[in-house]
Amino acid sequence: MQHEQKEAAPQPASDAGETDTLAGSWGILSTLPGHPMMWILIVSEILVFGGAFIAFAGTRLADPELFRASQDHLDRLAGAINTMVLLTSGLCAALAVNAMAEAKVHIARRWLAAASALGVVFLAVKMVEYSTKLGAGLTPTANSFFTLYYLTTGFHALHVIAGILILAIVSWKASLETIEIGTTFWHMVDLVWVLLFPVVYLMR
Amino acid sequence: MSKTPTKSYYPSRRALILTWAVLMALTIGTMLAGRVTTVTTLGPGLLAVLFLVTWAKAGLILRQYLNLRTVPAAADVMMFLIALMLVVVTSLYMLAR
Repeated sequence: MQHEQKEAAPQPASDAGETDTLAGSWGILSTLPGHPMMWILIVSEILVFGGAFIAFAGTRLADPELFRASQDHLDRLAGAINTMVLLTSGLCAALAVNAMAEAKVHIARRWLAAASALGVVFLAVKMVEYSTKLGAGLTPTANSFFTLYYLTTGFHALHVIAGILILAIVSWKASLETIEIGTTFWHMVDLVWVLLFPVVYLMR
Repeated sequence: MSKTPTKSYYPSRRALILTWAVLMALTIGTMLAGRVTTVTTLGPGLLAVLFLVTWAKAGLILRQYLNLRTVPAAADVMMFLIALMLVVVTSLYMLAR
């Protein structure tokens, strides 16, 4: 266990010169926390989801009544609960980085496990939501609202699954750099849901 | 390996828990403004509140969870990007009335 603790570099991952010799070649991006490539991914994802939200609101213009009626079939309370679940998992992920910065590998792994478990809870709530909708005949082909609803929330759910896998990998290959990179992805998933929830579930 | 731990680079445990508590409170604000348990249409005032609360939550995630407080210029760019997206979406919702 002592060996594992020695692996943990207790300084910002971006300061750990030996961990990423490419960091210097990223220019201004190298000042960002974690790995610059992850930030390129985050900006790309925000642009992709932002485009989807704008498409959602734009499509609504064509038939606001259909969107309003369809939106009332969504379980807004489940969406709100899932927001709290993801925000809490985000706290766990941030606490994992905090623990790793103090070279507490085991504690960091526990926080990562808690973040992942909450990710599973999020997916379970989402599955209940989907099964209720599908059971009521509200399939992705029901109308344009549900096509966009399943596309945006389904794409986000895939990111949650990817995030859980990433957290598992960085927990296995634990270092401050890997955990910071993995949790950066997790917070991005968190951030996208915080934007998705009001746009898809609440604005009407 | 013997570099001094730069604890201040990362938000403290206390700051993170405080951030989480504020995020929870803002989510309750979102639920109230979005009338989660009511079948109704939201007026411009409530849409504006939703916009602001969502933007504030995004800011906290970016600055504290994602630690962009260490690079304020990057946080500002991201906040501008998110605000722009929210302005376009909210404007389209208002147009659909």
